[in-house]
Amino acid sequence: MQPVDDESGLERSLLRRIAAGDRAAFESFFRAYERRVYRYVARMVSDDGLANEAASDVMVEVWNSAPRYAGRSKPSTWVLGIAHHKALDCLRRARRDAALLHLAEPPRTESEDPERRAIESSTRAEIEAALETISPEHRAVLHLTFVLGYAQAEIAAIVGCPLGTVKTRVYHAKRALRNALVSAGLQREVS
Amino acid sequence: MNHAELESELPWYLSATLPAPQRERIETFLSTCNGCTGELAELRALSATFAEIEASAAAPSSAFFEDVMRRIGPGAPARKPWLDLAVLRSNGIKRWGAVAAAIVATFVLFAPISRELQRASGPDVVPVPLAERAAPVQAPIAKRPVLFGALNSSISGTAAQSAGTESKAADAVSATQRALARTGAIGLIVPDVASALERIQRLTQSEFGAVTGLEDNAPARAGGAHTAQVTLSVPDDRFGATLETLAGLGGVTSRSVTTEDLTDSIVDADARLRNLRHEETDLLRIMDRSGKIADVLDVEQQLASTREAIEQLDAQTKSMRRRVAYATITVDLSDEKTTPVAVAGPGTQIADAWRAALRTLWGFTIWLVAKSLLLVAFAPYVAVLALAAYLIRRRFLGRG
Repeated sequence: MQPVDDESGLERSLLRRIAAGDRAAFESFFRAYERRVYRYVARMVSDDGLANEAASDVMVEVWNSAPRYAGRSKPSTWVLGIAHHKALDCLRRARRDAALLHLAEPPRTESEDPERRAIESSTRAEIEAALETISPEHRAVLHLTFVLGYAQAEIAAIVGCPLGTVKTRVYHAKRALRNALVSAGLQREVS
Repeated sequence: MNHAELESELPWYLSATLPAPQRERIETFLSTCNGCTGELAELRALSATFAEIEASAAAPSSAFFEDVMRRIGPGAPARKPWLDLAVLRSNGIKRWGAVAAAIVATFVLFAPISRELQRASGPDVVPVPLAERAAPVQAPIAKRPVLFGALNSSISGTAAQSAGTESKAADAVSATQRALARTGAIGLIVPDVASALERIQRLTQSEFGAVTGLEDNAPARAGGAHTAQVTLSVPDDRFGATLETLAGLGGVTSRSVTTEDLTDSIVDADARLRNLRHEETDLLRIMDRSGKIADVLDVEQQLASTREAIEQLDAQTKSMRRRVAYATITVDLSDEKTTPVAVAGPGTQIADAWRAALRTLWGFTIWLVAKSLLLVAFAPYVAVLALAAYLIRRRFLGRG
């Protein structure tokens, strides 16, 4: 979940040392973030090969950009901001943006109950499969909110959008996930 | 708080990242809304499932670290000192410095265009270097008992008869448009005649015109009347605007505009000039063929008379074209302090004050609109530079 302030202070100190070219500090920083960064970009790109490539790009960028870390945001927000943009770059490079970068359709206005039940009654595998069908931006905000537990302002800083957009995007992401689960359930019933 | 608002905040209520007052409001509302309780249960289920997924998710490969270390190489991070935010900060340059610099750069780069726009669009008084003027033509000065330095140079140096503008007038005539010579006169009561003269001189320069005559009757003793008469020559297309600007210098006591149509005269003179030049050519041919001294002398006499007529007609034509290209305005100035003015009643004074206020308001509005349009015109450049600054900052200075 969210890093505590002590960790934040330690990470700032590590970034200062990285900026001076301290490779040991970089390794410590790397170990602290490798899984978090990898899981985040993997969730966004939905492809192991691309995830490895994007995560590697993120860490190299951390090394190169450490001298320019201004300290305005928490190190974790800064790193995940880099991860977010690298994942999007990676998706674009893979020419999958046309299919993957579109945002979900606007929410439907019918009763919410069947959809709500869809999430509560879905299995882990079904949710994981449904996640693959929604857009990377939606997966990103769901991951930041429900897995990493970031506050609204931190998510806004990471994905680079206004605070109000974060709420809207999470709302639409939930609706998209529900719709995907409902569609999957209907297909299962038909088959 | 309503259901929709609460629903949008619930994810962060669940992750305990909301401020305490907001949490309390949500808790209060949750106890009264069954729909929200259901939504919360759904989010808890979703969160728990996500946690399960993440717990069993694939970890990065073992080669991840080696791959990154290989890519960063043996050296230290590559610094870009000129774009290093830390360096910029240590120099006291703040976030908006780049944007401010972009705006300043835009105005510096496009200042010449800005000046041209100002000249073209309004009555703003902008001094014009003499070098930018057309070839000067000496103009007559009726009387000049007192000469100001600046006025003197203007009178003697630049009657501002531009060859280009003259050719425009000729084109206008040939294109069957009317060639009109306009003359205006305006009488003004001003607070201070000397400063009004200076302003008129600057206005004339800014309109690419010239002061062609000045009679300044300074008071011989304290409290005496100070009057002046200035004759201006301004491009015809600036005649109306100049007259309006002059009217704003003080109280208008008289105003008149006269127009003389010179179209027929110019066309006639041009035709006569062409005939005379043909005659000159014919005479030259005859002189070449003639072998007798008496004949040559006779032709020479006729040639001299033809050339004299050509020169006279040419001068007349040029003068008429000049009058079409440049309008003449005569300004009579009287000092407010010594001008005998009938004492107006309170109603008239209030009406005058109101008219003056409206005139000032109108002038200010025009000025404001002109400046706003200028800003709008430059907005794309400012936007491009600001965007470039933003992108450079985002690319090179990091997002931290």
